[in-house]
Amino acid sequence: MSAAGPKRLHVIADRCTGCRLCEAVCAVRHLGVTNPEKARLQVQVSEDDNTFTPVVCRQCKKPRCIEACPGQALSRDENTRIMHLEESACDGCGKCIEACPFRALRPDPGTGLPLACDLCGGDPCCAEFCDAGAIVFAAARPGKSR
Amino acid sequence: MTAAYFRYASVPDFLPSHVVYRLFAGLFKMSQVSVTSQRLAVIDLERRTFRVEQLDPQLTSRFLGGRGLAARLLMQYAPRGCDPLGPENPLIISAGLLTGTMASASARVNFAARSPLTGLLGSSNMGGGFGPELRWAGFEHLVIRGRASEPLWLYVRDGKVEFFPAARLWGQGVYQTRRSLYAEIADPRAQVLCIGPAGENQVRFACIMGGIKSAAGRTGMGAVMGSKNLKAIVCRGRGDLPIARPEKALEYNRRVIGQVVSSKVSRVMQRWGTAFIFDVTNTTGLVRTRNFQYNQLPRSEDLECEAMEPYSQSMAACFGCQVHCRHRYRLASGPYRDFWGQGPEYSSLGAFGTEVGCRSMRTVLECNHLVNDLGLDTIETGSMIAWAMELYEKGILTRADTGGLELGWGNDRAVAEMIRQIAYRRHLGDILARGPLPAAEAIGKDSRRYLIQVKGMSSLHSDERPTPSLALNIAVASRGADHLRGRPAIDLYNLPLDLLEKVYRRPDGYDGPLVNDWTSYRGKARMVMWQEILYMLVDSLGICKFHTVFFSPNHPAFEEFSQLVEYNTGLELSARQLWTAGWRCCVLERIYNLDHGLARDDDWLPDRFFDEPTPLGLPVARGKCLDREKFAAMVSEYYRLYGLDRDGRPSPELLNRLGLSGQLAGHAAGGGQ
Repeated sequence: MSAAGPKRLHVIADRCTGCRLCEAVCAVRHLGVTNPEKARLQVQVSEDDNTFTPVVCRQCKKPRCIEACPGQALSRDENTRIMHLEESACDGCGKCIEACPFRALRPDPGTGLPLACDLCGGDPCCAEFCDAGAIVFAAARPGKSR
Repeated sequence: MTAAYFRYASVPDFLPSHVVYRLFAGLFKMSQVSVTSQRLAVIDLERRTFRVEQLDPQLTSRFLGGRGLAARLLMQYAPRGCDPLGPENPLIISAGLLTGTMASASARVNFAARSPLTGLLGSSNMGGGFGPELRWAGFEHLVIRGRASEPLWLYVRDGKVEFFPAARLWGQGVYQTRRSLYAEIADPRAQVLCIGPAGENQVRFACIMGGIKSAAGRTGMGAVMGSKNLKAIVCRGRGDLPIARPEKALEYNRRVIGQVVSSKVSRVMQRWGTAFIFDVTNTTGLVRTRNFQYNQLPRSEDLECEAMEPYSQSMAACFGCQVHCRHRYRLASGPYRDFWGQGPEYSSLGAFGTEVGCRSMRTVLECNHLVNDLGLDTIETGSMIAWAMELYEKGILTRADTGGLELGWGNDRAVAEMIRQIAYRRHLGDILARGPLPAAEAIGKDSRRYLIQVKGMSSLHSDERPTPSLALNIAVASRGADHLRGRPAIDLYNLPLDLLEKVYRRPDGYDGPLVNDWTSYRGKARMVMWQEILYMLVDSLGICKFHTVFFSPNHPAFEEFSQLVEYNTGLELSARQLWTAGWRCCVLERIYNLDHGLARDDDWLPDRFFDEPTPLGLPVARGKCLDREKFAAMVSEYYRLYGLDRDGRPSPELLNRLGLSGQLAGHAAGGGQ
């Protein structure tokens, strides 16, 4: 592991074009469907207000969601910061969702369980598919200019 | 029905949603619907009811979806010869077969009805986010029938259609309507389609707006919506769209994206949008100027794409698109200073620039705002005003006709004012609002001779006199003069012949002539037919034309789409089968037009294309006009390649081969049930 720490997802909202492909590929990778409601990230798009903001799990140093989980269903690998949800231990109480200060964690509308970002196992497809470079998977936040 | 109900059952608001979802998890287990099994809602505005149908899966392999299947549904639901603005003309909204699947820019949705502008096929295609949302809401198609007794808006969500009064929205512009609706539904993730005052006033070329820029612009679909007393359609979906082979689809989609963004033209569009075309075409002399008097506007640096720099903040994209060709801009002063705009397209640079003789990007942007807010088709609006200006110059129109407006070339203020006159049908605007042919009839004198239209629809501001292939494209297009139905734009590149052959001989092994000289008439019929079938295919799949062979010969075509269809939907259709499906749909659109009076004479251009040589431009474009005889031969060749007879009607063998027997002059008397 480099001195900069583990790789994590960075958002450079200025670059976002609001195409929402990240939402689509996230649900396809995890569930085999496109459905933005089941994506582990969300892009807030309003053409009228000119807002284009991806909201993604930031792999926080101090993960409030994991701390809030009463049943230890949520955990993560501290080296890679890949989160894991033990579904059998999760009763869908929603404490993790309430705890996330960035509102990046949402419930699966089908099961009610939190849609925890697992970084696609280490190669997150949201970043892979973001041609505009608004979502970047890197140890350090890249500079703003392209 | 029960399963469908629980699938979309709404939850009480007072409980946190994740708790409720957990409680009802068992009920929410979604049955996996196949991507190829298309769902249709037939909406009755009079009774305020809807019913849901599952389409025969055979229709999917034969007509795919989007524009192709919409033509088939139009045959079924529109009584032949119905009044385009009467209650029996349906408005059909169709998502493409790949729309919402994450395949290359799969954003698009098609609108179909009998056109109030041309009386022929009405068909218009839109990007943005509505198409995918419609599918997540549980539908591929909406067929909207009848006329509401008072203004309504529809809320399509999670398998249901609800009806709400829209009296207080009536009269509002598109921007205000969107603000009002978003405030009312309090769901920023919903998608809103609406019409502006132009649609309400049934301007024959009113459009439907699907955002602040996305528009179903052409053939007057907004007037159809207005005639139904339907102000808006809001859509929100939370359902799954299953991908047949997710891992393969992800991998292949990634590859196709790479193919698209690696081309230079995509990189240019990412930065400048379609405005980048202007510099090239204007310098060459391929730009309709002062209606049709010139083919170039000198000293128009302010219309070149770099002039957007001070206005543009950054770029915006439709769903799933990496080309993101839309500027996000805002004007610091003027009536629209509180509203963000997107664009302008290349078409607006002509409509509010060269055609009317204006030289200001600021004017283009203001007019872009205006037509988007009022809900007018940019191309038709600019063309009608340019025509009126030429009539004014010739003395056929006077200040008495224009409500005192000085309609001189390059009068920026007059252009903006005339746009308002058209939308609100005041003075001369009321006549122009009827569209080219009825307006010429109302004005009389010699006015028709100055119109630049085909089949009753005006052309883009491109000047096709020096380019036979592009001229053929607008002469034969199924919805009137239109560049998006079959433009072989890469013909203008003078590509090496072997590259041209690699593109145009596939996938059916065409072995006729191909010529890489864009001033030639030879082999161009094949190019136009090939592009028509390709564009039909992408319009039916719901993919943007910038992700196929439009500006680049290296972009995806039949082979790539065959793979995309298979991995995303599970439907195995070879490149050759997709070619045949596109061909079938093109012939079906022609059948619709033949049923409504289309004749060989309608696949033709105005006399000015043949009689008035171009006065400006580079030597290759200067002093050019089309040759009647050669052009007629090209039309005949086009017919022959398609399998049409010398009058442009499909032969019985062709109908048989495409499985369309029985469609000609016999479709759906009385419509669907």
